[in-house]
Amino acid sequence: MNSLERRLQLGLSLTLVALIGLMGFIGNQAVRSMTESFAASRLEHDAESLLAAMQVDPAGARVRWRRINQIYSQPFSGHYYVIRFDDDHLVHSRSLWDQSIEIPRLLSGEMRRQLVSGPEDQQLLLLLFGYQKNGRHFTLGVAEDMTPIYRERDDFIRWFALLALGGLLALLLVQSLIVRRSFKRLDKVRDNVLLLEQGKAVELSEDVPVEVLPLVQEFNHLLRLLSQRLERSRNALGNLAHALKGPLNLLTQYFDANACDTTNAGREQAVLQTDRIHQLMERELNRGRLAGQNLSTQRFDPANEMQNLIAVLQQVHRDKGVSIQYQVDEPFEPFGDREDMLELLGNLLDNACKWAVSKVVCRIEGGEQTSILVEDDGAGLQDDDIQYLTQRGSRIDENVEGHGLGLAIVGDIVKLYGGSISFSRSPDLGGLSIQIFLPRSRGKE
Amino acid sequence: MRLLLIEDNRQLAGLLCKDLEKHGYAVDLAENGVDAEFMGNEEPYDMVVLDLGLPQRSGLEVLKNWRRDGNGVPVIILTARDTWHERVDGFKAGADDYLGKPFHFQELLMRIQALLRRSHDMPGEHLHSGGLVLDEERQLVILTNGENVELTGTEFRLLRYFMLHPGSILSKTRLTEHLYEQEFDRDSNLIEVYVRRLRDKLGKQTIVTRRGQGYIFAAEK
Repeated sequence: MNSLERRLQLGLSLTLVALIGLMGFIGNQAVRSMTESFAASRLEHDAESLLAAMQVDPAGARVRWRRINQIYSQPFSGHYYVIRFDDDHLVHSRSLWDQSIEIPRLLSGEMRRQLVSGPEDQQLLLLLFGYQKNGRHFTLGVAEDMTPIYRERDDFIRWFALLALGGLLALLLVQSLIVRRSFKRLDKVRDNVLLLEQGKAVELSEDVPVEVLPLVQEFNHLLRLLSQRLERSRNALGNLAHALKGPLNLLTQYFDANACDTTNAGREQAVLQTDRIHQLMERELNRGRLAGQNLSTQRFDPANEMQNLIAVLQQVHRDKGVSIQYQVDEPFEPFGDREDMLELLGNLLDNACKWAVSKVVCRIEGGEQTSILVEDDGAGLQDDDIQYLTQRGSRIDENVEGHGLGLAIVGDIVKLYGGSISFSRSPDLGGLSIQIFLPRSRGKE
Repeated sequence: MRLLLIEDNRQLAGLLCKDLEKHGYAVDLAENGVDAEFMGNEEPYDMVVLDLGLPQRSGLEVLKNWRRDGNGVPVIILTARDTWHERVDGFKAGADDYLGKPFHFQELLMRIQALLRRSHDMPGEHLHSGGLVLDEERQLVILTNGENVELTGTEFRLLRYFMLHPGSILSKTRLTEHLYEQEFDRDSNLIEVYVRRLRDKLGKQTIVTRRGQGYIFAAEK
């Protein structure tokens, strides 16, 4: 069990149940022994007053009563006494009527307490004392019917148990609420992480319980570090591109200016190599700039970006007059790094525009995984090429003519996002159809 | 056509200036963002070629400021930073075209010509106006009867400006402003001389004089 909340709930509940149970048990015992002791002490007094009221004839086994509690005279009143003399002569209280209670013979000074069943299903607490009075040994048994006391005691215990159970339930409820409430504060962190993932927040809120604050702070620190590092490296690569392209540009201008100079045989080679340097540089710099599924960068939101991207593409391919249709299924949760996704879509669409006759269609769908479909109505790839590309998996290299550099970076991006790319012939437009799937959740990679 | 080139690499700027002037553009050069923004607001340029990585103020910022202040001069961004998100950002800032470095001069030239035509609502491969077709490559004009007429550098510049503004009254000051770079001596009467030469080559009615106001190319009759 890996949930702190559930573990806490269970632990607290068990302790509470044990505690209340123990309390119930001890309470029960205490009440039981208390009622019996109470009755016993009363019986002891009764025995003493009986003893005092007894007038024992030393010769015969007769007992005369000076004064005795009325209760011992009413039949089956619940209060009884029995006296057993040494010679097994028995004297009963009148309340016993025609019944009797068996009592053992005790030595004088001895005392015993026991529960016996009496007349009319009464439960009797019987106190036995061994006495000697006027030279005669006898055993005095005083009994009291415990049934009404027991009934009341049981009533009390039942009410007590009910109360304890009710209390336990109420406590469990309150405690569960408290625990849940405490853990609710952690939900905020979870929501924050979600916002972060969707690019709606830059860092986690630090208004959290102190227990997780260090974690959140450390996380934010790492996030900032990561974002700074990414920004630094992107800037550095941008500057490097800028710096390298300056001289490269001059070289290009130089070769352009001397285009008519055919006397120099090496010139063509130099032009070729300059182009090659440019391409390689572009490829590596672009690859270096990729951020991947990063928490710290701006998300790509097609609703904001696609219109501008299409406008740029239409500007680039203005002379050709290609119509670019795009469709984004709503609502599309912003996904991926903005720069990565623009690079991906820009290259895909640019490539499609290059090969299209008049029409390019792009469809972007969200959901479990982001799906990007780009189709054109150009000549498309040969079936052999499609098979070749499919067999090589997601790897595209510059060997496929025309679908070169632009698609290489597309392949890099797809790979970085753990996605897949497939090529086919567009059923509607007849040209190349490129389908890309990018998984949304990093957890499922 | 007057063109503002904003480029901090002197060597490249020098090459570009020379090449652009060869093709009939009057080029002013700005080497930092602050100067560039100021010049773009003060002088009536027909076109701006803008590098993004500039000292003092970034090219993108300069462009945004112009657009914010209502300066709609056509802008081609010419930059080493040409990833797609940078292009999109450039477009959002108000750029009309985008060319990545390294580039071929011919490509830049084509883009400039196309953007100029487009900004005057004259799409198409060549500049058609008032029954004439201007071949910007060879700097000659093709008349209605198909005859090719060669033009000198200044004649070409002047005619191109006329052809891009058919039916508008163009004062001598305005023509001077748009045909010559900043340092040029504006008081000269050169415009009159070249208008006369164009009339000699293309026919008197091609350019009409409005006394005290200026000239009209392809005036409605």
